[in-house]
Amino acid sequence: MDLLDGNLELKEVQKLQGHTDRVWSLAWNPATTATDVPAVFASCSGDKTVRIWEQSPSTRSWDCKAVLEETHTRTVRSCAWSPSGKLLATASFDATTAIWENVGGDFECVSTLEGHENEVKSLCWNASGSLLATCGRDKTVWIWEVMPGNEFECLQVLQGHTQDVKMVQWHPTMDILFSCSYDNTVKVWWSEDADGDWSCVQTLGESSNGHSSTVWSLSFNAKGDKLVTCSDDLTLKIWEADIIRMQSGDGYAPWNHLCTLSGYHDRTVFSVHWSRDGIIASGAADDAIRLFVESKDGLMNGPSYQLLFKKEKAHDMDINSVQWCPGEKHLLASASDDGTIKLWELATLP
Amino acid sequence: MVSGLINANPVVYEKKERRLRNLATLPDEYAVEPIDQQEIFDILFLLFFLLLISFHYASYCYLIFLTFLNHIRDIKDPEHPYSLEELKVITEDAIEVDHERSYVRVTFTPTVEHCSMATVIGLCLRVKLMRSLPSRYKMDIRVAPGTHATEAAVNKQLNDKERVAAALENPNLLDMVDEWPNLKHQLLENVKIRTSAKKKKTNEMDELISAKSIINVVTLLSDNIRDVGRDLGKSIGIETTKSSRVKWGIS
Repeated sequence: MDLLDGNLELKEVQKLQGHTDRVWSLAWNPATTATDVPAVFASCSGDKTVRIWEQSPSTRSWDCKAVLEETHTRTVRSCAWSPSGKLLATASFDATTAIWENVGGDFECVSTLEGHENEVKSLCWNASGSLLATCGRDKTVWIWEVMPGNEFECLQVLQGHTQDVKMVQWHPTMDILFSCSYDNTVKVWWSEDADGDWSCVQTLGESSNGHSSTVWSLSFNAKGDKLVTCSDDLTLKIWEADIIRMQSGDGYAPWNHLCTLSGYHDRTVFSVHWSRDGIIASGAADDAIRLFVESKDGLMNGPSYQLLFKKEKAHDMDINSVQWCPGEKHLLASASDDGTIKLWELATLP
Repeated sequence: MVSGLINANPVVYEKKERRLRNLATLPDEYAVEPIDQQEIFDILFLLFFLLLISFHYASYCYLIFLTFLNHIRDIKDPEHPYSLEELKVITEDAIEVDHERSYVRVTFTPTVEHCSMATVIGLCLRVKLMRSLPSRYKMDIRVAPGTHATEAAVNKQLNDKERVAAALENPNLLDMVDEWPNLKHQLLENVKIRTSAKKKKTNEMDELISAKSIINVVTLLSDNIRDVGRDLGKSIGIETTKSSRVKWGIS
């Protein structure tokens, strides 16, 4: 469908209640988005619990299948499924990371990763599921190797950020790690040879057209040659790299600022997510969800992006996370301070 | 242990007097207008006024404003048991409200330029506001421009909701917020003891709460407060030095 021509509407499919405090983050299980498996996602909250939501194949409605509690003693800040969908990792303000396994429908905590001095804020599995990265308020990023028997071994502690690290994200195809921070920068961590140490190979800071306040989140496009970041400075920024060169082993290809989307957001942008077919969704503290796409007429001066749709008052309070469902093309989930999760369908009006 | 206060002799300002307004101005108030700061501070009148026009659209907005003004004007500076209004930490001019956008901005002035308690004061303002405003309200808390050595850093911390959320999970902070009325109580108790020792009447309390007596009491309490401040500082990322003074962990 040609999004730019249609009259679009973000239709609320369902509102999920259950968390008793703000919902910080959510994650779709990548293994459940095939047509024959019901879709599943996890959400985590200030109420110290994680909830697993599943879509009923018959009624298409979403229900809470499990509540993961009594493991974390403080806010669960973020969650992430391993690429196989078998393990769920959760990061908590209690300074631990928990690994959960689905054993016959019940989720069991099979491992607890300790090491961060205080709040763990984000985590991410690499594309092959062999590495897990975590970050936190202690300004460090940790890389853990997944060993047999649910063992996790810390390979390296990356130091470089001068303030707490808000989010970590692996590149979708290569083992390049990105971290964004309260120090207004995004750092790129890379290891030249497969067994070597990771080191910071690039810092996307204010001097390189970067953000002027906390960078909260980042997301890649499907090809992995573009990256979008969002910030407390009320902007989104798009970055680009010569990914072909990197994939052919010609060394590190730096990321360059492509454009800045400013003037759209009224308060801090907490979350940004790029769909597989190129729609950027943003969730912000102004309670709105916005969708952006690359515009067709900007090719003269390089690519530019335009606002496709804005859903005002998508939630009653701040939106902390927006995530496109990897399977169904235009299904979006959002999590908010109002304690609810909403599922949205992007539809064209007749 | 450092026994003195970081700012031992704060300038104390008189609280703004609450006067009764001339009822002749009443008809003008029926129009929906931007909130007038003077009207808002005229608490007694407005309460009366609210009863009169309780069906009017504007009344709800005024009510909200009153609710939180009543909350924040009584917040104590952790270093001194004067209310923040008396210390001119908070003044009416420093509160902006846009009820149509459900937005509140509070600007506060730390008692001294390097006041290490600025973040604590700001956090407490935020807690009080969060508890008293409808949840749809957005708020920004900031230090008055030019009044604090690390103004930008304090403002950034106060408005990072993740760090605030983490700090609020620290039981010490909530205890401290909840304890503040008790500090006042302890102060009065202390004055009572001194008074009876000097065989004065306890109903002369107002005269007895002189700056000096308050500072004496606060000196007794300050170690405790400073410990809370230090724990709190740790929980939100402020490092401390050996002298137990709080130092900003911001380069």
